[in-house]
Amino acid sequence: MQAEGPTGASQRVFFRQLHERFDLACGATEKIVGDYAIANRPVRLEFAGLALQQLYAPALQHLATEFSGPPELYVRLWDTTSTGSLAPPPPWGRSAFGTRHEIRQSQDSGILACFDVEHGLLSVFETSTREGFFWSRDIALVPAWERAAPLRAILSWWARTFGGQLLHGASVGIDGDGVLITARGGSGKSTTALACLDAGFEYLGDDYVMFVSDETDGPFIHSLYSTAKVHRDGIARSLRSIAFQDRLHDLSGDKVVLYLRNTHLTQLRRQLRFKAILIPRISQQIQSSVRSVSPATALSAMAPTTLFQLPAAGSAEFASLRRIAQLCPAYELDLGTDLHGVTECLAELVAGSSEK
Amino acid sequence: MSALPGFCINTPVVVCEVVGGESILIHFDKGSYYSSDQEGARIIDGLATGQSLQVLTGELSNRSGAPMTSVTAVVNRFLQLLLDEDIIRPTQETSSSKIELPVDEDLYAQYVATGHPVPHLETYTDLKDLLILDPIHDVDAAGWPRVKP
Repeated sequence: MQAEGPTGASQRVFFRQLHERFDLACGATEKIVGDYAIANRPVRLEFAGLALQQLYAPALQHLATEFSGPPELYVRLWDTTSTGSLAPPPPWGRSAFGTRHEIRQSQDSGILACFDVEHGLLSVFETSTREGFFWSRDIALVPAWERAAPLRAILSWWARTFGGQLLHGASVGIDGDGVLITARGGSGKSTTALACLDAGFEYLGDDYVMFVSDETDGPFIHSLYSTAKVHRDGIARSLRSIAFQDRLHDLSGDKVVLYLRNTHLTQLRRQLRFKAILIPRISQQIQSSVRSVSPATALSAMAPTTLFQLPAAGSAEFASLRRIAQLCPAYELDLGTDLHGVTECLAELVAGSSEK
Repeated sequence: MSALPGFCINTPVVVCEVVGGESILIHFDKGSYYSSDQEGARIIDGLATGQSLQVLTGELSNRSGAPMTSVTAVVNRFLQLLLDEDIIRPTQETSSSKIELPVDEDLYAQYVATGHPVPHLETYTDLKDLLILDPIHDVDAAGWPRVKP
């Protein structure tokens, strides 16, 4: 998986050129700064102009904050469409571009990068300075699911620097105790999370969350995005009692992205204590049921779907997921059609986990 | 067994973890993932930690009560499965591009007759669509890949 390719020095030159191109982009428009608390850490995003800011900031807006010291993550974002500033030429050869969007390269530069060829999206992160760059070739190509969960690669690389782990999963909870709902796409994560949201649960996200173990307070799941992706028919089925009309965006025709900040602000949380892992699967039964499963089953549900979506993730991230799978009890949820029953199952599960 | 090459996990494209006695493997280039039972996990974990096939076979012989010859047939069939899935590779260069491990069916049946579990690997391919099969389509004037218009 190591690539032939540029030396660490030429990658550092590339990183410097990213600075220059970002400054050029800012010169063509205005710089917009947004400060956020992600996993309780100060994060600063600098956007060159409104175009990308309007696409990417809403999903993170529930984490907006003010801080005085230096940020622990500093990301600069620009696009060529609205600023005219191109990304510098890549220092990598064709063979460096991998199947998970990763750019395979030597690790000695401390620079991680990935490129979404289809949508023209570049993410670069320098480990030592915790600085990142994000470039969009054409904002018209940015898909709705990317807007719903922006900067995943950079947040994942950054999380490594403090022992955190980005997870493909949803999380909801009660009274500060949370359940990680993880499984491959289409298994019912969003349906379960939104049914719980509808029932008044606390909510961290429906697709990607971050795990961080605090030395004194124990393991926590942190919110990244205040969005939810659901099938159109799923909305009618599971969310009939509340208005989700803040912003709806088409997603591959049959899915929509819901922005929850304006409709469910009081239920959005920044973190929940990690109490259990839940693996949903769609069932044709009316009633939902929960049964205990092994840590291996939890790891099998959580790891492949997470790691296939994280560029450059490898054995270290897999080991991190194994540790997470061993931390808490895991359950399989047969997701019945009566969603009221689903939320009752989860409420019992959270209550039971909290007593332990 | 001594005539066979040694094998190791095909890192870094394959990653492996053992939890609760079961192993989970992920093949990043193929988009496949795998789980094995406890006997399979012991062999996979042994290869991951550099144990020799002789040691692994001897241990399975002790656990199962089956003679070494029949255990060798079982281990070879399991290793062949791992080789065919590109999960393991020889620790040293081999002259042939495709390694075929000998499996004596009678000896294999002898092991099965003991009732001890046969090392098993479950293969999952449902996440293959998360990978891009052809990451490079074309490049723009600056050298960045892009989808062919």
